[in-house]
Amino acid sequence: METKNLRSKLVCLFILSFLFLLVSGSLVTATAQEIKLPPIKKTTLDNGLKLIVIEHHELPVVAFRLILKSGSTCDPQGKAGLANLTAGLLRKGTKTRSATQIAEEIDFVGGSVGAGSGLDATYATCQVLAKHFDVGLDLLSDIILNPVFKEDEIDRLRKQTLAGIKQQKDNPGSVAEEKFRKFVFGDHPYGQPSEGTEESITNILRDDIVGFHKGYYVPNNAILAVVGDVKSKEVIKKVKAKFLQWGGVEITLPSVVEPPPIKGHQILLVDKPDLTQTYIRVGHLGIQRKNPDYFPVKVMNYILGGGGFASRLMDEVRSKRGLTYGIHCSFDDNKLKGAYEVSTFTQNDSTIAAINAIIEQIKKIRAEGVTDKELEDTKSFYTGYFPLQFETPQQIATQVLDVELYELGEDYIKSYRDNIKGVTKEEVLRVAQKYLDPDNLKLVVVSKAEDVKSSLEPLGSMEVTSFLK
Amino acid sequence: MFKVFKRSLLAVLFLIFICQISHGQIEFPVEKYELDNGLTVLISEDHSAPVVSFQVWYNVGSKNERPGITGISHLCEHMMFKGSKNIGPEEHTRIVQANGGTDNAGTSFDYTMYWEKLSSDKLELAISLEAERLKYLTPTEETFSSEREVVKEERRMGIDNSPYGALFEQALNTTFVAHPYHWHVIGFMSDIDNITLNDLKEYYKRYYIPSNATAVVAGDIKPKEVIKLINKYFGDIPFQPPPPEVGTVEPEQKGERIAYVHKIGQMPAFMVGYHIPEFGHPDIYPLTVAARILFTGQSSRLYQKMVYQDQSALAVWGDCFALEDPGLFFTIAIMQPGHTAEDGQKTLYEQIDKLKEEPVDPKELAKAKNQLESEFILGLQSVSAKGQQIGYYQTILGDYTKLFDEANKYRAVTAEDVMRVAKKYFDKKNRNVAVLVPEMPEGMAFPE
Repeated sequence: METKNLRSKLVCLFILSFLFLLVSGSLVTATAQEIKLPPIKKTTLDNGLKLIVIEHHELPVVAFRLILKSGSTCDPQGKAGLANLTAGLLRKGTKTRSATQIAEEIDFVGGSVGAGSGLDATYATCQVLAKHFDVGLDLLSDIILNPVFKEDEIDRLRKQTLAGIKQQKDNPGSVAEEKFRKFVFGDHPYGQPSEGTEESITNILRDDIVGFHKGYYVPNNAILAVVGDVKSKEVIKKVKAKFLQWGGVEITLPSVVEPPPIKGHQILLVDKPDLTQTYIRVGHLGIQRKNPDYFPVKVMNYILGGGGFASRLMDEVRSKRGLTYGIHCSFDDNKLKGAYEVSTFTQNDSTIAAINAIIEQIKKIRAEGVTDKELEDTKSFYTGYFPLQFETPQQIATQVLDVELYELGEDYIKSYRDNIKGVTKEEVLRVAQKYLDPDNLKLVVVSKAEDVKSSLEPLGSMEVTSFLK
Repeated sequence: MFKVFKRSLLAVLFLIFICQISHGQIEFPVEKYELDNGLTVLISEDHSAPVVSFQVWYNVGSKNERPGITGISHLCEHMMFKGSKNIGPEEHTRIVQANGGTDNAGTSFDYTMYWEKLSSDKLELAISLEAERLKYLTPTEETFSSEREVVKEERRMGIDNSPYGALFEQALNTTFVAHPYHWHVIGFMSDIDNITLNDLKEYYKRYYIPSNATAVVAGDIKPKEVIKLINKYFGDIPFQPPPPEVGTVEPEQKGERIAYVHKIGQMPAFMVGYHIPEFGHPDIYPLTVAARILFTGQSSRLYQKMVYQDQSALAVWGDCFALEDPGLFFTIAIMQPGHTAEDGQKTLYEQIDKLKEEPVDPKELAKAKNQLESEFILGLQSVSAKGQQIGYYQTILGDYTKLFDEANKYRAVTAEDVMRVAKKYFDKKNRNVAVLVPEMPEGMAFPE
């Protein structure tokens, strides 16, 4: 689900915690030979709202996805979580509807509506059966345009958010992730958790929320995608009727602090004394989503550790040595330069072995590059897999909005596979050398500290902290 | 976090939710065949995209295990990726990905399912790979011992180092005393350690046979060509009689059971479960409607009461978790700091008692039915999802066509039905409670 409200996150967390994996329902609507999206109808309203409509008549379903090009990166210093709290409050009351009325209305039609913020954007989504199109559009426009941010609702959501942050501390993977972000990015906004911290959430006042809404929830900062069993003309007419009243203001984006430099191997050991497993994050800064080397980096990363069982890290650390259940690496897809991160977990005893294996594989790909077979297999994977990500209305909406948000260009979807096919071995080697730096890394290790501390000492400088901090 | 988790336990809850709900009028074409060796084949032609989903369902899961070898179904699923006569360890997935596809598998209480999703011109590859590992699996001491360690890591992650995983395992241990649902699909750690290669080979030989399997093909294909391909690769496997059904019947519970799990953590939580009948039983429909009324959406009774009004819980949810053998109706709540699991249970029981005493409002009933209709349609948004639905019904009920009857059964549920099943099953004597008691690490205090 796209709705990134607290509850659904918790539910996912819980379900994952004992069921481990949703065997992904794989859905397909694009062709394997060529990306044949249904026609995309784009228009910009007089107030600046961009509207994208895609007719998709497989099933009687419609997905709305509205993004605002301001996410938690716009949270002021000390108020991390503001964007997310603002988004979370949208469905908690408007000028004409209470929170419970909104819940009743959307539940009655078996639909979903929600909102949240990521680093680069805020989004509001709604999914309903096509026969309930009007209910969906009415609710979505109302929560975007007319939220009232009542004090009691703010208190309620603040309390929920605080409890959620506390609860994350029980999940060693989340602890590792949050610490890694902070460690790599420092005071740069990407170092702050989108949901905020216990301290920052307490600092956020109603005025901050109202101000955030006023400053960033404006049509010239927004794109709305409507995908599903609809008629474009009718959608445009109805969207205009609801959204044309929305007034715009100039957007001012906050300035951003540079992330701290990395010198050698810097280790942050996070003590969680009950753990029998160690959660590991290794990495440094990566690339911007718009980087022209995006495709060779993607191919290189797949071979190193992004490609599951086709990747070297999985082969070495799991398949050959049985040290972990999962290992993965990735470059963030963000507007600003994101992180490059390898993540895994292993028994406390094998922590250093796993870390050494990771560093060794990074060194190896920088020294030797990749084989012809690895390169060809990776290209086949991405060229075959790409169309499979355009299956449901929700997925299509997300894909086309990402193209807009990251300004990837009109031809991005059409030329994606040619871009993948064009990657050469030389480029892969070049980007491995350019964007991977095994000598200057930040490592976050969440474990029972006394079990692993001495084995980590030879690796580099170390700081020890508690999972509760 | 990790984007590729393979060979994991199936998302039992999600899949079953998707599969047991059928309220819309949507029906799609399915052709059914049976090979001489007993393999059931379901084919659904759908030309909306040149893609195919291939799935093989085995009617084996943790329900078929016994003490000493708990977790073997899941371990066996892992080993299905570790090589066969003509395919090396982990080669299966590499080949699929190198052909632009994806694959995975999952193990649940009742079944084990393997799937590939590919461009439809690659269907033969998927079929040949699945037949290969059904016929020629070659587990060795070496691959088995390294995969055992992988599975132990999976258990540590999901159960031993996760408060909610530990709570769920305890809830199963408490709720089922005789039936194999007593243990979690992952198995007990000592059993994972003690299962031998020989145990595994025997298990594979017994359950991985055509008469215990259903192959599902959904997508841009022609059924006549598909059945030829299936015959080509699966047809030469000799018939073996299907394995016996699970005989153990969970005895009627005679009184409430409560168990506690102490874990380092931040918030109390609890899980409550009531025994209910098996999937497909007529009472499952009103029970599912009851679950929608109690738990689904922010207007649901328990969200409104516990999360919104009292603000005593961070989250509460539940569902009618129907399985091949009698399953459970469960609720899970994570309490807010300062609220105890006992307070939460009290509120839950009040809400449950209300269901027994007052008929649900017609609008609430209509809402629940609308939610079920919507879930059903949204659960069909792909050829794979369609395949999963028919595969599940065929494997669990022995008849995929029952999927298409579900809509009417949900539509027929009345307020009186909901009241009747609430009285029948939500009885204190039939109740099982597992409570998560958060503790501090030694020598540490929470910063205030």
